[in-house]
Amino acid sequence: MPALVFEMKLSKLIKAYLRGKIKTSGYWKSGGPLSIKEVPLPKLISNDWVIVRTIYCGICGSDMKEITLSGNRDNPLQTLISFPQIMGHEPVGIIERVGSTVKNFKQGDRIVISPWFSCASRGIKPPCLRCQQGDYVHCSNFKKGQLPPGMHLGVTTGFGGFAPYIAVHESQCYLIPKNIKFEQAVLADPFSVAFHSLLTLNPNPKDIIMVYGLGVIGLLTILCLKNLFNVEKIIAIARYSFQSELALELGASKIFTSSSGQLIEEISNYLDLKLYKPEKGLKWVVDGVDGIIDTIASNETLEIGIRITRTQGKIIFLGVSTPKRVENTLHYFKELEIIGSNAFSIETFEKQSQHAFNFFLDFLSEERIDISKFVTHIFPLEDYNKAFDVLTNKKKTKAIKVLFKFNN
Amino acid sequence: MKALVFDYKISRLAIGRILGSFFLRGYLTKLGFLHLKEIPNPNLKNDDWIIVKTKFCGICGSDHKQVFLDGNRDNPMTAVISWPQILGHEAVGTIVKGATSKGLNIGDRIVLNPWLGCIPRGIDPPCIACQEGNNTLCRNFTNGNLTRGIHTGNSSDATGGFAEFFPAHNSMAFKIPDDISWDQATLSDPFSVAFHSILKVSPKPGSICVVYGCGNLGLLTIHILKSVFNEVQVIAIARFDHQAKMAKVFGADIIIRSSPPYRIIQNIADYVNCDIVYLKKKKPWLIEGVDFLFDTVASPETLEIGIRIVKSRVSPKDSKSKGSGAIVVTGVSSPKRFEWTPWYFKEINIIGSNAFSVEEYEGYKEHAYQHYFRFLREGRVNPSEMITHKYPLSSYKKAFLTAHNQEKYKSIKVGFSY
Repeated sequence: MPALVFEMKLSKLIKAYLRGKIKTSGYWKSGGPLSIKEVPLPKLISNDWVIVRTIYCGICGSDMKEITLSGNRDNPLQTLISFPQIMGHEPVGIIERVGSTVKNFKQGDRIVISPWFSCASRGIKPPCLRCQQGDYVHCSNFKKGQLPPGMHLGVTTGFGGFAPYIAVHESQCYLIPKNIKFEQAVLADPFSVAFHSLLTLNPNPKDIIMVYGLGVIGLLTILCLKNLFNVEKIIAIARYSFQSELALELGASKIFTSSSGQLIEEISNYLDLKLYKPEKGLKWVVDGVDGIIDTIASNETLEIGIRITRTQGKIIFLGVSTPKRVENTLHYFKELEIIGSNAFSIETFEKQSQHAFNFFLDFLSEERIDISKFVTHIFPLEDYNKAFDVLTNKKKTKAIKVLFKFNN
Repeated sequence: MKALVFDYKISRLAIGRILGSFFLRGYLTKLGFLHLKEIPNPNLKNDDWIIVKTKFCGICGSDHKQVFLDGNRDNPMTAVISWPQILGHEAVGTIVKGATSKGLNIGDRIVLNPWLGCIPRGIDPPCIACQEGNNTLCRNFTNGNLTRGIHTGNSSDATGGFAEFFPAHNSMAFKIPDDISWDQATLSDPFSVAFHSILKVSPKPGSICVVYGCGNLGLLTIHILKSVFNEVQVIAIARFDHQAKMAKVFGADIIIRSSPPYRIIQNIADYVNCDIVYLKKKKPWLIEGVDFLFDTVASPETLEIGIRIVKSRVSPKDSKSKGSGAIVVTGVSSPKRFEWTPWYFKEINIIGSNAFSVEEYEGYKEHAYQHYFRFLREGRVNPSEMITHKYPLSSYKKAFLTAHNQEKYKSIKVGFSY
């Protein structure tokens, strides 16, 4: 079958790096690490696995980071991945074949896949302590068991969603209710990322919450804040005007598009905050926003976040920007809590505990959330260059979520 | 009176910086920014103020960092301080003037709570933080009848203990009980900083804690974890021999030397019995690890290692507790890049901790100093061994060099004795 594969070969990486510096599309030009390759059809790894025929697979921000080679060589997560990779970890599809001991699924079931390859998928019994507690993303065994090293689909050799067929363990499958379309279900992963980060923040309806960055995750965060956490005052930082428009529609109170010192001035004017002016560098406040969801987590967003958050406030960050120096003195002075947020697993909300994907599917069925505006572009896999062009030209293309579609 | 004055003039800072880059003593040159001067005694600002004759004043890590210009110009704290300064906020002494009310009298021995919140500033009603007794989070550090400053020593009006006398608002003076010595009382400030940082996470029996750095704060953190809290396991990371020895005296369960960093990670993995993951042998990290880490250094290295050895966050059971997988930062090293990817992957909570105020512990809600006095009286703590060097103010150069070069002088707490 044809699959979109990323190879970790130095010569190809150098080629892409040099071409990418000249023109962004150079990163995915042929001859670089990314290409459509003929790979063998996936097999059932064991009796409790299923083969899924892919219908859609979403392109995640982290995919774009990998393709544009914007990681750092000292990133320790490299320990938990393997190459070559069939990229893609946000797939939905139809079950084509089930192993002999699969109980809960049958051929023809429409499912959305949780990409995490923890103990159950790796055939490790008994599962590690984290997996027993439903904290699958902190599994101790990402390098062990019956699979190559890798945390999830897309970063584990041989397993990825940018291909017409995928093999996964039955525990990774979530049945899509009849009234929900594939185009909706495909947002389960980014929705769950946003939802999980808000459960960590645990905002009060009266809090002022700031959302930094209005890509898919930032917009979904606003949707959750408004519809699930009933937060009234949501401010957000956008890069493009089409993002601002959608954010306002979803319930944001105010959008800012400036940056740096100007942004701090504008926010403090809007919220009527008292600014402190240091000898050099950015101004800051003692009373500011109660919490921030930082979907970018670059040195600039963290630096501004630390300055605009109130004393003893919280910053949740889930971006994967590369680490740089952050002037963080106020982190200790204001006694802020800065908490990382990673993916999703079993969550507790409104006194109910279940996987984030189940919450998502429930919210869709109950019409508590409307995500119809999120998928903006759909391409067949062979047009991957167009898809990546669209995602790197958001100002013009107004792209939010871009999908690959499979007609098989 | 004699006082050590810090003059903030660009030309003098430049001279100090240039000479200091050749030899440490250069920072303290007469042509630089720090001078022992004869200046007028402090005056009573109003009836609520007192004048204290200094008995002893400890040198805080932040003091010698400032004296050796180990800071950055983009530090936002420059917005809330004023110049010139007479440093020194870990001060004890005897009341010589003022004090006719609030249970204070001339001749009383007091320890200073240096924070300049609403009450010393004459602001009534006080801000929301000060109403709760949290004067370290005061909203008025730039307002009221004092110049800008967060605590004694960094407001030009509230001169500090590196002088023969210092002023204080009566609310800033804690009477020292008769059974508590000057040495014990002078450690009230750093003890409270450590105590406050531990209360950020309140480790439960069985918790495994790392204390990163064995200077004053690190050692006091170890001491409190082992003597005040119940059955907490403490791993100390120490740089120098004499620090490791003192960590042992205070009861640390194991002591790891701070270099090389990868060896720390291996040692922790052995201790908690978890897997090590790595690409390169010298860049390992852990997905599991210790429950809590107290970073009293907060350098790029300690933050990077800390994130690698703290376990992935465990969501707290209730909204009041923090859940393990947290780092509490009290260190004030100047910010630099560190590799923080596992911070988000492991969902670690990094919590800032600033000084101390009214704290709740064992059913008592009182100022950290009062908790400290109680622990002393109950015989649960006794940190005075940590005071290793006392100098007269005239030997200030020697004192700062001793405080700064901890390995050479085997120093822990250094101070000025009057």
